[in-house]
Amino acid sequence: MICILLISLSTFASASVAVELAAVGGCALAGIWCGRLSSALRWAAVWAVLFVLCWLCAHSGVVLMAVGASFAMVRRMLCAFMMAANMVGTTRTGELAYSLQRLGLPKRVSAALCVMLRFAPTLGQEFGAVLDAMKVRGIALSPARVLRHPVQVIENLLVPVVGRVGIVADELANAAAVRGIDAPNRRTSYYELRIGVVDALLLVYFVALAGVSVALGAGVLA
Amino acid sequence: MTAPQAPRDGAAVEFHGVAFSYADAEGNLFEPVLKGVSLSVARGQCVVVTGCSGCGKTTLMRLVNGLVPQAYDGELSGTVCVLGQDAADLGIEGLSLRVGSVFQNPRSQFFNLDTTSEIAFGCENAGLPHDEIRLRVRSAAADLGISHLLDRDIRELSGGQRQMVAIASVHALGPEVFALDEPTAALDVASMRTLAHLVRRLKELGRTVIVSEHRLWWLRGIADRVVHMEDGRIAHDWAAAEFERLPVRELHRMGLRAWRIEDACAEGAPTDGQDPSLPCPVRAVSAAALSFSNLRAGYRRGDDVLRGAAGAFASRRIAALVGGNGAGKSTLARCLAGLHRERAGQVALEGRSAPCRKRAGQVFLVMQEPGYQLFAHTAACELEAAAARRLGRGEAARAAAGEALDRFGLAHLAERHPLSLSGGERQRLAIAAGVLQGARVLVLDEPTSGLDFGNMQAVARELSRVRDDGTCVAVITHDYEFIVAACDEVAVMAGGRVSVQEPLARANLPAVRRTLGFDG
Repeated sequence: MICILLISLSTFASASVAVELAAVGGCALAGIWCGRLSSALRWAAVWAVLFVLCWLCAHSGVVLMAVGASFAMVRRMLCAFMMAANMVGTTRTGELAYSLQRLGLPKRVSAALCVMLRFAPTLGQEFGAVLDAMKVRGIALSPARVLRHPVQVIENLLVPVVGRVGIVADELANAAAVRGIDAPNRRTSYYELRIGVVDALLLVYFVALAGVSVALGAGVLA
Repeated sequence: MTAPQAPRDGAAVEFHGVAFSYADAEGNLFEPVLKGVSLSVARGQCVVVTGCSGCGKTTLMRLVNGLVPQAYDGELSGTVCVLGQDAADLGIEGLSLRVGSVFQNPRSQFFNLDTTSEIAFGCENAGLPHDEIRLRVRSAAADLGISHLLDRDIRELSGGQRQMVAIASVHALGPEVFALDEPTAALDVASMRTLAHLVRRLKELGRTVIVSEHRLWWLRGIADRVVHMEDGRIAHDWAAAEFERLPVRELHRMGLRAWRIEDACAEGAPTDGQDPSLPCPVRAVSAAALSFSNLRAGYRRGDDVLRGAAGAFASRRIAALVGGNGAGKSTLARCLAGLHRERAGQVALEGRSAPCRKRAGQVFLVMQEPGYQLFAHTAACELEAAAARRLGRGEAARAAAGEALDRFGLAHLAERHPLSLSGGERQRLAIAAGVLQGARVLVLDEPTSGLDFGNMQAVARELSRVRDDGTCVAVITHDYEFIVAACDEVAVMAGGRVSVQEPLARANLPAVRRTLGFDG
C-alpha cells in the first residue's frame, strides 16, 4: 500500500516519461514475482498503448491535444492502479487486516479497507447481473441509449447495484460481528507475515523513484 | 400442548418474557416484533423455530447472538440468558465465543475470499496465538468432514459447500450453542442433506443447535423439538414425536411446510396435478410457444454446458425445470431469454425462428434476486414502465399497471420503493412487470427460495393465473412442494440435455422426488 502512495507521488511530481517507465517496470516486476505474469503483461501493454496514443495526439493538431491530455492523465494513474490490482489479486483479507494493525491504523479504517478488498472482485458480477436484467426489460445498454437518456441509464445501473451492495454489506457486517470482529483485543493471523528481502527491495526502489521524481519536479535535477 | 420444560440449570438458552420493537433512525418505534416470548432450550437439544414470514423468528435468533439489541436499535424488555449468563452483559463479542451463528445467504457471509482464511477469521479476531489458530482450523474442518475444502477459492464453491465453510468458521471458535437462521434458503436438496448430516454431527459433539427454518423436512430425525411462532409469540411447542403425528393439512393451515416431504400436496387442487378446467392438455408440438433444438452453449473458452438440448414449452402450461448442480438449467434459461448467445442450435418462438437479440424481452427471465431487475422508484412506476413498453406512455399504460397491481395483490404497496419490499413481494412485482411487458414466455429462476408456505402458494397462484391468460411458464426450481402446487409438467435436465419431459401426475411424483435428490 505504501508503494501505491509512493507511485502516485512519483508519477505526478514530475512530467518525466523516464520516471513513469521506471515505475511501470517496477510494478510489472512485482506482478511477475507474485506469480501473475499474464496480468502484469496486460497492464504493461495497456500502458504502452496509451503512451502511443498520447504521442499521436500530441503531434496531430490542437483538437486532439485535449483528448491527448486526458489520455496522459489516465496513463499516469495507470501505474498506481496496476499496483492496486496486483494487491487485490494476491492479498488475503486476513493478511491485510493484520498488516494494517501492525502499522498502527485504527480498526475502523482497516475494516473499511478489508471490505473494499473483498468487494472489488464481486462488483463486476453485480453490474453484470444488472446489465442482463436491463436487457430482459428491453432497456438494454447501447450507445444511442446512453446519449439520449444518460441520467436514466446511470440510475438504472446504479440503483439496483447500490441496493444490493447495501444489503450485502449489512449481512456481511452481521456475519463479521458475530465472529468477534469488534473485540477489543489485538488480532492475530493464520499466516506468518514478515517483511522479506524482496519486499524491502521493492520499497527501497519505489522510495528512490519517488525521490528522483520529486527532485526532477522541483528543478533540483535537470 | 407444550413439551416438558428442561431443568433450569442445564439450560443453554433461556428467554424470559422477551418483548422487542425495532426503532428507526430517529428513534421512533415500529410495531413490536416480539410480544412476550418465554422459551428454554436445554443443553444438547436441537430446536426448530418455524412460522410465517414476519412472526419474529429472525429477531429471536438475533437475540441469541447479540445482534439485537446491539446492532439493531430498538426497545427490549425481558431477559435473554445464554449458558447461564445474561446476554446483555456478554455483548456481541462475549456471545461470539459462546454462540456460533450462520445466516441464510451463502454469498454474503464471507469476509475473505478463500476458505482457510475464512475458517480462521473468528480465531484471528479473538487474538488466539498463531499455532492455536492453525490447530483449530484443521480440527474444525476434520470434525465436520470438510478437510477437502481447505485452501479453495470461495467463489468456486457451491452454495451448500459455502454454508459448510460458514459452519466450520464458527465451529473453530468452539461455541456451545449454534444459531442457524434459515441456512438452507438458497440450497438444493443434495446440499440440504449434507447440511443435515453436519447438524447431526454437531449434535453428536454435544452442541445445542437452534435452527430457524421454513423448509422443515431436512430436520426430521434430528430435531428434538419444534417451536411454532405466530405474530411475535410462541403459539405451539411440540416434541418431535408429537409434531410427527400432525396431519399435513393441519401444518398447511398453520402456514407451515410439510414435515414429511411425501406428504406435500397442492392446497385444494386434485393431487394428480391436472387442473380439470384447462383445455385439452394434449397438444401438437407446433403449438409450442417456445421450442429449441440442438442447443449448444458454454462460457468463455470452457466446454459446452448445453450439449444439444432440445425441448418445447407449450403455452398455458407451467413446466418445472429440474436437475442437479451443473446440469445446465441456468444456462438454458439465460440462453432462452436472449442473455447468452448459443454456440449452435435453433430457438423458435411460436413457430418462428428467433435469434438471440429478438428473444430478449419476448422471453422474460425473472431472476433469483428480482432486486436486480426493478429499476423505478415506486412499484407503480415500475409497472407503468413495463406496460409502456407494449402500449406506449399514457393513460392505457397507467390503467394496465393499476389493474395489474390489484391482480397481483400489490395495490397496498404501490407507492413503496421496489427494493424495500419483502422477497415474496419483489417476486410478484417482477412477474407482473414481465406480464405487462407482453412477454409470451416467462422463465423463473428459483422463485420460492426462502419463501414461507403462504408466499410460496401466492407465487403458485399468480403463475396459475398468468398461465390461464395464455402465457407459457417455465420454472427452474428444487422446491418439491412448489412443483406439486403449481406445475403441470416436469422437464429434467442432466448433462446439458433435457432428458425427460412429461406431465405431472400422482404416478410419477416419486420419480420426481428421486430426481430432486430425495430418497423417493
